[in-house]
Amino acid sequence: MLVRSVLERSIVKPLGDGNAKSRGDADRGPPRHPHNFPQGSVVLPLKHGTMKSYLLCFGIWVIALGAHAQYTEGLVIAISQNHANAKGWFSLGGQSTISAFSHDGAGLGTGGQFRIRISQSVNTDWFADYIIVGDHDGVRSEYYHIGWSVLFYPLENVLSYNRFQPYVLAGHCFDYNQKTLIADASISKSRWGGAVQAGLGTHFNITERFDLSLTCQYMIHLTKEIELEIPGEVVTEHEEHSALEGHLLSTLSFNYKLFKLWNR
Amino acid sequence: MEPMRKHIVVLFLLINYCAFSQSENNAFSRNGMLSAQLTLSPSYMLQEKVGYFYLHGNIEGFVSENISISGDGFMSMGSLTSDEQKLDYNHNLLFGGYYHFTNGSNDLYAGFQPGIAFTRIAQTSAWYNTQPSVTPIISPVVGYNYFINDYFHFFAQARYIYGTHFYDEKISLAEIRLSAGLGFNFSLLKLKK
Repeated sequence: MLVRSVLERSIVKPLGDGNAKSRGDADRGPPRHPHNFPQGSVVLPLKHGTMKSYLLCFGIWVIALGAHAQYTEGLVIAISQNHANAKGWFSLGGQSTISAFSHDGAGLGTGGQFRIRISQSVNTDWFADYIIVGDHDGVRSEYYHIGWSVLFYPLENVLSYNRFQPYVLAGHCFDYNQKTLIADASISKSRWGGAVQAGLGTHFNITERFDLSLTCQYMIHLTKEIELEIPGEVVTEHEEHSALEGHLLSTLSFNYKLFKLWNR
Repeated sequence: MEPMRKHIVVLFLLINYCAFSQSENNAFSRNGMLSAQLTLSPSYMLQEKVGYFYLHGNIEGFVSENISISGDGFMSMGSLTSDEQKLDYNHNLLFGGYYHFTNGSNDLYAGFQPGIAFTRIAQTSAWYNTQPSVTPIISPVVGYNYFINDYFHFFAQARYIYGTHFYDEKISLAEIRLSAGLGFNFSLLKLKK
């Protein structure tokens, strides 16, 4: 029944000569396809769903290509000029963050940032975000970060085409962590602390002033981790322990260069 | 029309759209334009399989011909059906950027918005004292505007919202929302002149 269903949803390509045997009809005779293709047709192992996905991807790619072709010429000149005079830009934006590889579980965060470019190869990023991490053992873990990072562009003088601007970053932040039992908000514990983070990323310059940035960084908390101990269904104690623990933060952000603070 | 042919027609239209985008100058200038929209937005929660509707407000500023910064707000207005609703409310604030593929009065756009959801589980006999919560969300958006003149445009928009409510009970906020209607727009640059 399952095989028949797959066959009926397959795409049939007629060959015309009738010599080739379809994959599906080796044992079952002619495929029962609604289009009634002649015998000898080849049944490609492509479902309509798969084909739809390919067409969708192709459509998106064509749109992107159109936009790319439309703006590349002017953009390369504009971005190059902008990069030659990159110091002093103040940019503002928002971000979404996925937190992973934490002992708490995975989660999603949201926040904002501004950047101040202090030289052609160095930028600074000042951010604040709020992340909720999964329900490990029925516990909700909330992180509030406020901090800064230094971005260094190692290829700034190497790449002539600056649509992509890769960077390494490192920095520090203050963080507040609160862990709460999801089913009972009265059982909760929190702490203030500090953290350091480092990672890699790239800007994708859509125009000379607007960019999307993708960053992957590991953040290590420099304070004691708090735990809610839940033996069975009853919370009996709160525990703190020291450990070099943290989480991998993958951030997608948008940024718009608003104005120049200096070097106008 | 069989599905494959439909896809090919849609693809052909997209390719034409891009070709026109490259070859024609935009007679309608969007740089410096401020637009605002207010409409009712139906939705469908993918995991809970419940439909809601929202009052959707939007303010969008075009910082160049193709880039806009947009702030959106959704206010919960209730369930689309008489089924018992899981969430008492699910208000959202989102802020992000869109890239516009423009051709004269036509404007196809895509973007993403980080945001927060203010949610609360409906109080029932099982949950009689639920907590209001703030939850991070992310929303990819696609849409289309047709600018009638310097002051009005029609719009249609679809967005996916992803997030998880972790208060009292874990509930996925994954949702698809549709918005359409008449919007207002005016040029800040023209006002300056």
